[in-house]
Amino acid sequence: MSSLLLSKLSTKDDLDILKGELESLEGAIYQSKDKYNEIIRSDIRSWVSEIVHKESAGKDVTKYIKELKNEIETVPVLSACIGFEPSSSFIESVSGWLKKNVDDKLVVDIVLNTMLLGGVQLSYAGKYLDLSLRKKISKELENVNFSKS
Amino acid sequence: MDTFENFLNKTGEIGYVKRISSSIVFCDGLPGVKLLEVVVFENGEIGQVFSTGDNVVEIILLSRGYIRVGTKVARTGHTLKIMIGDNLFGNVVSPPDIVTFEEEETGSARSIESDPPGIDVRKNISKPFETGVTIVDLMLPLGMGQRELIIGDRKTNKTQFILQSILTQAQKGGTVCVYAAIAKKRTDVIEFNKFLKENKIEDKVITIASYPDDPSGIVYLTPYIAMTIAEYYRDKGYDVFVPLDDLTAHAKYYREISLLAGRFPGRNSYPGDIFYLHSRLLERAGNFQISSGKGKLAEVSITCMPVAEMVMGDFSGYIQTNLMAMTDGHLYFDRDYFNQGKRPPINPFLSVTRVGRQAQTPLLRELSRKLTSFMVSYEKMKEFMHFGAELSEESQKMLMMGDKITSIFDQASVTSRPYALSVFLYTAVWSGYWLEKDINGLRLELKKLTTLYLKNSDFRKQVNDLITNSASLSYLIESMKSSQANILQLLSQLK
Repeated sequence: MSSLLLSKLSTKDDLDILKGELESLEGAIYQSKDKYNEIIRSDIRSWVSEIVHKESAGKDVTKYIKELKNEIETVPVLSACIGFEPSSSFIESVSGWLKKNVDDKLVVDIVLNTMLLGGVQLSYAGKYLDLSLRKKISKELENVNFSKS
Repeated sequence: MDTFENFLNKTGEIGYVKRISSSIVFCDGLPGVKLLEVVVFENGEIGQVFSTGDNVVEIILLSRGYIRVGTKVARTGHTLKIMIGDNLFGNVVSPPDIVTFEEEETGSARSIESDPPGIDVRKNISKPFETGVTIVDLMLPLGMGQRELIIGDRKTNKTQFILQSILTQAQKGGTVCVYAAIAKKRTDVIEFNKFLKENKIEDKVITIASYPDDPSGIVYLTPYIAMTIAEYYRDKGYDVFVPLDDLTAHAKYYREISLLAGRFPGRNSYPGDIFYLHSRLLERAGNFQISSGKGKLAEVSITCMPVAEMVMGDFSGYIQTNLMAMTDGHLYFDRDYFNQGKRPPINPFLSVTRVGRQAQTPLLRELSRKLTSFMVSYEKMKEFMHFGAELSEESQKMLMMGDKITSIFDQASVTSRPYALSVFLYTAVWSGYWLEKDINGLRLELKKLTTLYLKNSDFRKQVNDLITNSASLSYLIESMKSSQANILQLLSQLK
């Protein structure tokens, strides 16, 4: 099963928040039905509760949440280390492009590191790529011969 | 050494630590990592790949630092190597101090894991290995290139025997000693180092030490590092002596690593490859023919003495029997002999040497055979005595002789007795010197004879020449008998 929730996630923070929401839902199931309804109404995001309601209709809720949690563990994460604080629209456009061209479940983990000066360091599925400005400058400086004129 | 960032850029792969279990780190990523490859953590610590699985890489930590979950890991693309040089002599070296992962295997950087040499470069053992311990040199002779297991209960002077052997080999000259202290207490290693300095042999000995509080990975590597250093000096044309003290502790640390890594436990919870752990190490020792340049072949050896601890004299322990299967004999340090005050407490009847005898001269072989046969008869006679039966004069003489020969075997801890001196003392007693003396009187005379041999170079030369020129034991005994008056006179002049 592929939940609609996963295609709506864009960053790792979203993924972690969703994990926390599912944990509290799962915990509430074993307390009482009222508790579960209370949490789904007030403690989790509205778009999440809407999708959970829709997808769990007519199904065993416990089983549904367990399957969803297992599926979340398989979500691939692309880590991007950049030198500036990105806006939400920037993140959305990057995430959208990645979902369209790489994997529709993929989420982005943005890490801020001003030492890079510019560019990005990417790591995904064990692969690492350094496309930062710092690396380019270091490489150029290696070729420069500092001589007294 | 390259930094973490450089390795990331070079290999283009990254991993993240997911779980830590004492000295085993589980991480994901690193899709192209190979077994035994060295990896570097973000904080500078290093580890070695122990196993790979479905999106999980198991790494043994090789440094003492702390790793956190989420730490980045980079491949280096190299296996573990160590830097070897003459600067190691006289120092106590810990494994993390000398590990490296240089790109090329230069003359002084060698891989820790290597295949044991094939039979085409091996030669029969033909040179004797002198330990400086009379009972071993006369009754249980060893050869250069032999693997002899030192086995016994805890605190039965096994390490003292190793020290005596190191002292003898270092003083003879030409032999490099590499001592591996595996999970030994720091005080023991300090005492060992002090012993080397007191006897002025530290320039011939390299000590590789790991301690009980070190990460398991460091303890695991210790004997392999010692063997790698031995191979380096073997290839330079030296004979090398490698005591590994002790392999039962090594097995316990490897068991810890395997269980933490989730390996299925076998007998006594040891992993299934526990035999391979030690056999691939001990097979690297032996007697070899190497090319010494100018088209000539030189005979060099790595003599290995692994130490194994037993519990309550139990020969049938798992690790103990494994080690007995992969060595060329064992020297058994008997707890009962130790309690009776015998030093060294080696039981010659339960000890074995499989290849030492072929390295002996005909004289020594005959002596060893006669002595062993006599001692077996002596032991049987002693048991017969317990029945309280009256003994004939001949039996009483045999018992007296046996007691006297046993007193020759008594040797102070950590002293070395040259081969020739041991032979000389034995033949003196066997020829009938000091027949009228009791054991205490005999001990005094033996002490004087030892002093005469060690201090008087002319006398020493005469004795050495006599032994070298004697083709048989009977000729030697006759010569001793004819020189008895002269020798006793020399002894009486000693104060």
